[in-house]
Amino acid sequence: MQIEKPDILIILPAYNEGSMIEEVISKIRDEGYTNICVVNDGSSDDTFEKSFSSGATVLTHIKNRGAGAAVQTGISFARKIGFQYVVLMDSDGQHLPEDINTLCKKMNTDFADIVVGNRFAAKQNEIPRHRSFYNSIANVYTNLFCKNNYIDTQSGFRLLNRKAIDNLNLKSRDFGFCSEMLIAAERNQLQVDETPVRVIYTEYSLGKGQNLFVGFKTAMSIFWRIVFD
Amino acid sequence: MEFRLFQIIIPLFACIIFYRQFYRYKKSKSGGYETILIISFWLGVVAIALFPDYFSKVIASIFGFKDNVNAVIFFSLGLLFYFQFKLYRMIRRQDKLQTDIIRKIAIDNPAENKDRT
Repeated sequence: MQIEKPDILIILPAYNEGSMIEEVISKIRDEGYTNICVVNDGSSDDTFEKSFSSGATVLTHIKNRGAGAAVQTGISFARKIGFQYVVLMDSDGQHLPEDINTLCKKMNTDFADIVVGNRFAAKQNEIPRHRSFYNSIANVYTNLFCKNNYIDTQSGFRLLNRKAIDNLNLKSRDFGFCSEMLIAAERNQLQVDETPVRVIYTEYSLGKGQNLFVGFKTAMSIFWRIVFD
Repeated sequence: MEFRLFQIIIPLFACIIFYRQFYRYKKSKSGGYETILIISFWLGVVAIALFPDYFSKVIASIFGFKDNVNAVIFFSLGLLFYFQFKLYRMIRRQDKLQTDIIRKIAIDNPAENKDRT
């Protein structure tokens, strides 16, 4: 079944992304996607104002709760409104809206429920070595709890279909949602595929996201959730 | 019986707790079940303080320790870990509740710019 652009909700979790969010939303609109939802995760800058004036629907967390919580809010909103597909994208301009089409093609050809944008499979990507290293640790750790062997478990660029939207009940409020989504998808018998996507790293985007300390905390959180929760 | 300093301080402190708890119960600031629980707990503390050797030997014999001092230490450590674990779980539950409330407020109040097409 062909995926139509009006059926897709683009979710942009955003924390203090006032300097980039307008540009990101504009580029998404240029690709023909009009359903854009910014989850303003307790930002202290003008993320809300810039997102609102750019025409996005803005859901605001009155306090910062984390990337995972923002993603959960976006997915719950999509479920409530009845969107058939959801695309999760970073708000720092790292991901290219042109690649949404790539995710959709993969979902159509492989009948996947979740398609993860794989940054390591696209040869032209210049991924900093320390990022590659941290991601490889995260991959090994996540794949311990999965049946499949995923190459980019920490990619925030994902396409979910309605089945995934309805069946995924994530609990991680931090970056652990990246791993949790894959683990939960397998437990719910959802098919997960990966496809190469491009990524742009700038000084700005490299200052965002996970670092080693955050990664360690996330790993502990995932372990606790699986064993004790 | 020769009393050591802690065998005087702990029962005195427990008396203050008993008085305070009975006062709270009379003023209906504390329920009957909670009062019984607190009184029982501190009676236990007083008993252990007054007869420490007896209780440490009992713990040692129950758990199979040869040395009653080790028994008390490991038993106390075990209790501490257990309470720490419970506290951590409570904090996580509270944190999740807070997140759920914040998320619900966000979902129920979307800001949509109808002027922009």
